[in-house]
Amino acid sequence: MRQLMKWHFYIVHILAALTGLCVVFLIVAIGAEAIIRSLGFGYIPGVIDISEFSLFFIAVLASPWLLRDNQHIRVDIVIAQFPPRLRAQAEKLIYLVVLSVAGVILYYSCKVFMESWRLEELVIREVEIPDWWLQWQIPLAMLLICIDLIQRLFFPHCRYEPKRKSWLDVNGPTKAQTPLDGDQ
Amino acid sequence: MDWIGVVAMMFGGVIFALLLGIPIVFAFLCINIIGAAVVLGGEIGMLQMIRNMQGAVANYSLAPVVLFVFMGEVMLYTGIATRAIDAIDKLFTRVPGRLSMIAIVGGTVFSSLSGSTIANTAVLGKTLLPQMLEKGYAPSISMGPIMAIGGVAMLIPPSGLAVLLASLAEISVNQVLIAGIIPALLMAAAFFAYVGIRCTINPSLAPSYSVDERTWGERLKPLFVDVLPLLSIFVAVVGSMIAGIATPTESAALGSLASIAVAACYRAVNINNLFASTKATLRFSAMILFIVCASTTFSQILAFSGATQSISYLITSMDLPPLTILLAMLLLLIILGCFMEQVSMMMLTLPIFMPIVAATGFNEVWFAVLMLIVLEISLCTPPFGLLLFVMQGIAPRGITIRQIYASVTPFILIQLLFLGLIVAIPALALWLPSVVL
Repeated sequence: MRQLMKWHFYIVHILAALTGLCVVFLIVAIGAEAIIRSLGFGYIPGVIDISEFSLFFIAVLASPWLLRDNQHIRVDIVIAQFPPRLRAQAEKLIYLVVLSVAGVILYYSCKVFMESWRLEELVIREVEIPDWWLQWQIPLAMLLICIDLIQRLFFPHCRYEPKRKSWLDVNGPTKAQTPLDGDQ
Repeated sequence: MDWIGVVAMMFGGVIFALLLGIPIVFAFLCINIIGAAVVLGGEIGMLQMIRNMQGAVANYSLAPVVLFVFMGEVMLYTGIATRAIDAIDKLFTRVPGRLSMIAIVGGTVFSSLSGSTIANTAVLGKTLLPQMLEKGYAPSISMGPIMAIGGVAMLIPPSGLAVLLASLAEISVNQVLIAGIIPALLMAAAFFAYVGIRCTINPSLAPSYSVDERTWGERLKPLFVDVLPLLSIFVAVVGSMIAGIATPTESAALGSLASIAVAACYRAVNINNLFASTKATLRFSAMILFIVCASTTFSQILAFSGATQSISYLITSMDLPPLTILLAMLLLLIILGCFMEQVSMMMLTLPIFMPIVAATGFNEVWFAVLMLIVLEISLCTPPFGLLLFVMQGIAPRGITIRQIYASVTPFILIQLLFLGLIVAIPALALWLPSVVL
């Protein structure tokens, strides 16, 4: 399990880095296209399509990273009032519900992916790509979320933490970090 | 299952799951799974739900949600926001409630550069609150203005949540962004006047203190050096939209590039703070966009069960005056706002409200502005207003949550007053977009 969690850590962080690049792409590509178009040099083909795919990647592929660092928005003011033991039980119940949800989505998203692969469906837009290129993200993200939750529920001592804080840890060290980091 | 049962299941289920502490996105996905199984035909519905997740979020008009947040983070991490607040500080002489007024003016300026209400509140709180408390300002006049003006970022472009609202409601992003400007500026002016009047009547709320004597040149120079250049970012965003050079998405990208360029002019950009800004943007955007993934299926289940049409028909067939229907919708939003955060509120109510708005013939942009004001109010309404907890995180030990509630209450009343004013005079919201777009 420890080895699996080590792999999990690195895959989650690689995906987060990929989505960070998607953010950079949105800023640079859309801005560049607006400038180029307003100067009368035409437009960059495919920017709208790739921007839309990037938004999808950001939403889905960063979610295991957020979950790993407990950064998904939640209203915990009710369970915060519970005594510690009851709160721990409530947290386990929440993990179980989230695991069930992620498990169901993993199952059906795998079906969608396999069907898309089998039928060789195409996404026909300005950029023409096989449909399965947009169908692997949800199963992968849900698989990583399931692994994280199984570890929390059944193998609480197997969480992998590198000796040095990763540069992509949500609350990890960054030289430019302001005292406000973590408030949002 | 009839539509009443579906409504009870969907709304009751989400609210129960949220109160249980399940992360918002999984609360919605959980109810979507149950709804897809019961209403959308089992496996077919489940497969449709998976396909919808991509369709909901892979939407070009949602890109400004990411880009507007990035603008605010650049301002924050490069220290440009703090410099601007310092410059505004130098501008003010000895006036009643000086630091609170600086917070309001600084917050309004920062709102025009950042799409994040939380970043706005946090930067003002971190910069000004310690000074206020050190100078003996009462909590009621120190924390209240910071939280109130922090929420104004939701109305002034660039506003990520305004883009999200317009996108989910399928109305013009341009018009909603521009329509928020005048109400926001009027509200900021009202906060300013309130602080001035209250501190004049009761000077003990904000004891006066000696301010360095400065010539007009010394006071105005930081304004020209540290504040006015920042307005070029606002001009890049709003100007490019108004001039028709760029779409809202493109103007957001231009704003992001402009914020980096302006920070570079101050020699404040380096790889570390750009990286930190990107990381903070990713964290916030991913949270919001993943929730949006669940939005289409939630609306589809309500529509497929007949709930959306039935509620709309039920309300319009009651022959209630349109104003009563409008006030009932706003009241419901205010009540929800006491317990829920803004994206969940939008996702729960827009599928029901927008057909009613269309059926009653209200202007959709006007309704969006009213809804944004209620969402802004809900950031500060006890017990779960998000900015209350941001403030609690910033405030020194000893400040109780009750003091925070009390400090923001007068400002909530002012916001409610403005809500009523914009209900009575829609032109306050609709005039500007009609002139410039």
